[in-house]
Amino acid sequence: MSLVASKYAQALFDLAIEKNQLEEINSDFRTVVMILDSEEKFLELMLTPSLNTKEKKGILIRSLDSFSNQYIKNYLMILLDKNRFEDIFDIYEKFKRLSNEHRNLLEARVLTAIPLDETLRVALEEKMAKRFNKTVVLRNEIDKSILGGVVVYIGDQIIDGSIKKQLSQMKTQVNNIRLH
Amino acid sequence: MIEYAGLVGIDLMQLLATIVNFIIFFLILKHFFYEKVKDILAKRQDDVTAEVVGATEKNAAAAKLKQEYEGLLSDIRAREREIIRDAMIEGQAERKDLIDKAHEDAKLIIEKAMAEIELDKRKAMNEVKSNIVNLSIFAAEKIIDETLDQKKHEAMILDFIDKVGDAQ
Repeated sequence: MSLVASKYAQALFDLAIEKNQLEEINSDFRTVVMILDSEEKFLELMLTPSLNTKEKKGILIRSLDSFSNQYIKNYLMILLDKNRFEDIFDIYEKFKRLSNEHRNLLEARVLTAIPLDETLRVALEEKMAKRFNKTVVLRNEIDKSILGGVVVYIGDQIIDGSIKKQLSQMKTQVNNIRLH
Repeated sequence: MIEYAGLVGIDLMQLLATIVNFIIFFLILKHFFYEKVKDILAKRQDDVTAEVVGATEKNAAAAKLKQEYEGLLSDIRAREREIIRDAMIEGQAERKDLIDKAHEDAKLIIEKAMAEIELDKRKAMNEVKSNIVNLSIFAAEKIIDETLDQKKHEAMILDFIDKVGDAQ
């Protein structure tokens, strides 16, 4: 992550704390990033040198008209003015980290072969919260290649309880047996 | 008969004259030639004696030389035998060295070949083992995928949730 992205993220985080709008800004920023991530053409439009900053700002304001948070709108305009829009994903990642730390919150990506139902999701969140002593928010992704069980990506840790991992360990153990 | 008697008769006067002649002839010869002949004979005797002495000395020298040469020859033959013996010993040692070296080389070649065979064998066995393991894992994955239903999946997830709390 670049130093510039860290500085921009820190600036937005400080503003959110100062204005006591961390939840709102975080939520709106996440929505913007999700839109940019899913709408490739929109991102290309924001980055293309064929349009000037004023035109890009016009498109962005019209597109984000439904957003209530003015700070996010202003922040995105600054990114366009400073020609830093291409760093928006890195900035969001850093901002999310700062925001989560402030709220004592950990996000976890959970891979399962079947969708987690609410009961299991809550049970897993509670276990993770207890283990890491933080509020844990799970994001469940379906990955049939793990065959069964669970893989949790949380912070810089990976907790792999999948059948695929067990088979892989078994394979390694058998391959390590020396034949004479 | 009378004629024959006259032919073999001795004339004493003639005999006497012959004897006197002989004596005179002897005395003349003695007077004029005896010393000369004697000198010649003595000189000849000396020459012969000198030649004999010389021959004896030469013989002695030749014998000495012969003895020396024979000694030398004997030494040469002894030396020759010694050289041949040394050469034979050296040759045998070299032959032994060559044979030992050949044995050592052959041993190394065999050992290397055996090691290579063993390595190839292990490699092949490990390859077979790896293939069997891969196939087994692949089969296990397929079976697990087909046999795990919703309940079993949920049971596994619950088991994970139980254990993940313990692993703190």
